[in-house]
Amino acid sequence: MWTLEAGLLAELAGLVGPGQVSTEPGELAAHARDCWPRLMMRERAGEDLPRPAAVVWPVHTEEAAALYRWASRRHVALVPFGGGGGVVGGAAPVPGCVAVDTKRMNRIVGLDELSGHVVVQPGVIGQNLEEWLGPRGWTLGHFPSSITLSSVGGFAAARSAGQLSTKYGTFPAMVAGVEAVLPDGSVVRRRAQPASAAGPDLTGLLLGAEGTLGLLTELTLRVHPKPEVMAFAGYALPSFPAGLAVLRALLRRGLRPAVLRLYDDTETRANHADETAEGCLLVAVCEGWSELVALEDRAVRETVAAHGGTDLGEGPARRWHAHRYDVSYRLADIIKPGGVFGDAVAVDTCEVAAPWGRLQPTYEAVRSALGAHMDLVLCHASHAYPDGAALYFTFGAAGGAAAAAAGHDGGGLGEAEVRVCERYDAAWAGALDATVAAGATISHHHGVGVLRAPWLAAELGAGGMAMLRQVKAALDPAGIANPGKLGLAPEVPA
Amino acid sequence: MTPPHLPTIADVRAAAEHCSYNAKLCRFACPVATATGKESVTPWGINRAIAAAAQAGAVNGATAAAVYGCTGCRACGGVCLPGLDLPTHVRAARAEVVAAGLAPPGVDAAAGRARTPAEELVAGATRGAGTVVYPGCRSADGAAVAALLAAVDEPYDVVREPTCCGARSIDVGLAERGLGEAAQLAGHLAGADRVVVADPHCARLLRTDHADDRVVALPVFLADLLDRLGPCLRPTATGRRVAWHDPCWLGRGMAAYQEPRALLVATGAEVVEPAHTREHARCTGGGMGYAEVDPPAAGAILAARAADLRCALDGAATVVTACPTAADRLRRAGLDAHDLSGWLAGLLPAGRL
Repeated sequence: MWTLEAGLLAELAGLVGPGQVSTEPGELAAHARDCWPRLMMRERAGEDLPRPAAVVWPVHTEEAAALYRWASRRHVALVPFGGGGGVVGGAAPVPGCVAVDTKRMNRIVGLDELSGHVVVQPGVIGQNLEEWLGPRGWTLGHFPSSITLSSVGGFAAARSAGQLSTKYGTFPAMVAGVEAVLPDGSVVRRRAQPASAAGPDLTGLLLGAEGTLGLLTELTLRVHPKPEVMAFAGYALPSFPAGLAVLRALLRRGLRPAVLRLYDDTETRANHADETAEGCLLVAVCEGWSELVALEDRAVRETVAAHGGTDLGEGPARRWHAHRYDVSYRLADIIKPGGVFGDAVAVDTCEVAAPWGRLQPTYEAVRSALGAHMDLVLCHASHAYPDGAALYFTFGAAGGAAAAAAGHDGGGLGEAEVRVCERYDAAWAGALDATVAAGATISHHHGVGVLRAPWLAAELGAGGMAMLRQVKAALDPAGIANPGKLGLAPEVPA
Repeated sequence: MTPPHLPTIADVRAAAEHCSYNAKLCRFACPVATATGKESVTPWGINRAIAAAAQAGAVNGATAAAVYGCTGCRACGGVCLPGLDLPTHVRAARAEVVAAGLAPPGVDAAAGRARTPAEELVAGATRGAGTVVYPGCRSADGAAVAALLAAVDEPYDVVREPTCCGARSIDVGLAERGLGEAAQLAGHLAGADRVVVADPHCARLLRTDHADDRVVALPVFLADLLDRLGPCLRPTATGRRVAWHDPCWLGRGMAAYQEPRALLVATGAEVVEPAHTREHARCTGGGMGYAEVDPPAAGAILAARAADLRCALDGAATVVTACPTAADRLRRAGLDAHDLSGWLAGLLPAGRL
């Protein structure tokens, strides 16, 4: 176990300014989990989740460097915490750790309009950044459904993707430069460049590391002129494979609609029955320079028609756009005690990706694996690329009759919670086993955290995982940087 | 007039619990969460603490720390799909925190104070008039209100006794005291046909929580008189650039966005909008006793709002608002900030004020 004795706590307080360390019980409890549904389910079942021993809010790089230098020397585990919007337990504390909350590192340092770069600290919330850029005529183009709560540091740590990624790319494509504090407290800076062949991509090494290799303290991000116009369209495709063929054809032609979301027939029926009675719904949004948008919009129509699709007008895409973040609000309706499907309900999402050549088998395998344990499995292709696409599965299971009969405080509820958690765990295991077997990647944009850590070695291969462990051992010999995430450091220092 | 119903923690438990299973989606809009970086004072953190207290059947220090981390600005409610009402949750919890003896320092200082109206307002009043002006317990400019109503020959009476509507006491958890203040004021307003309330916070409480549809906020009342008031004002402020700071309780609280802007436009001024305006306006950090409970964080909120306004004004210009607390705080931040009634009255022809 990690520990933070009183003497260490006093040392910690001395590293930063007044009011930047808290051991208030409420603050510790509020850092006990991110938005991983499994942790919510454990909490719902009455479990006291592990809490950090303290929370610290560094405000600048020098403080963060001093903090990591001290933690390495004193063997104190540091767990970065941004917006807490992660869904894989990447910010989940280990007992005795210090949560490094980045939200006071929330300065927008500057905008270089000539280069199209904005420099930000990691605690800037995505929506606040867009609200700052918008009046200046720019957009980052990164719109995950968590944008109103999550931070740019979190986007980078988990290699996030937004809903408009087909046009603007995933978050790593937006990162032109980084500054990071390594676990020993040294500071590494990669100056922003449009491209570089100067050795291996150290920036890329830090992105997706989920805090296991240190703390990102500043990011230089590529921004884009705000789009002149947007074009909305909805289509019904006769089948999911036909829809995938449309996505492939569009990307192959060099087109980059901002949004291409293709719902399988189950998700279409479950969530979009008002839009189309049969087939699979495709939502397409093009944005940017007006003439290019007009061309792109026309090309989408022609391609859909060539694949047997039906034009549903603007309505489906406009409605999707108006409600594009609502899904995050629906989680509480389902997962809270006494939710719309009763007590002891499991619900989550699983995003994987594969090249076109392995996408359909991946879809079928993961869907089947989830369906073996869950009552409901929905899927849509959420992000498309010239060489493949991401599949976004939503799944859920009700606790069963025992939960409903037991009521909130009934004796049978605990048993129902245990059973539904077992089903949830089995569903994830099956889905990720199937993903690996299909040759797909185990995460498209949510990251690894705790949830996927057991499958990372299968993803990277023995050689890849050994290389990652060696990098970790070299940069973080004390194992203090977000222990346990990515399946890397042991929870007890060596 | 219906006496205010003050919900208890048990009343708001279900809504608080719902929020605690949500994903903090309103974080970006919350000034306290932004200023402090704390998870415990996001609307999610506050509701989580309230839900935990409800489940435990008692409040504790963690409840107190969370529920006093709110300015009541309602920015979270404006982006909340389930439409949760955080200030109501906070009031319910604070009452129980105070009853448990766990209130933080500063609560008494933030409570309401019974105030006597300005002499000029009393001097211009007509006993028995159907329209009764209630200036509120903060520093509303009574002389200015009197001048504006005189300019349009609008007869009014005024609550002459030292009173407080109870909103500020209820806000900080002094529920019994607030209810007593509210009951006393209700007696003074019994014969009124219409109640014009200068302070938007008081107006919101009386109109919504007390369900008193006689109540109208002063900017809304003045906007209704624009056909008479406008000619007195135009074009005295032509060429001046003025930013309107939406008071939280007038804007998000009562959806009165257009009326004060119409008044400013009537002066000939150019109304400029800060980046965060109308439904998305940021607060100045002084609401629900927050400035007294956590002055440094309230100061950070004020600094952010002042920067927002300065950016919009692009240099020396004027900020006008109808919230006495906001006007005072913005002045302290170095802005040329005015209460609406005072600013309008200052534009009246000489001799009218």
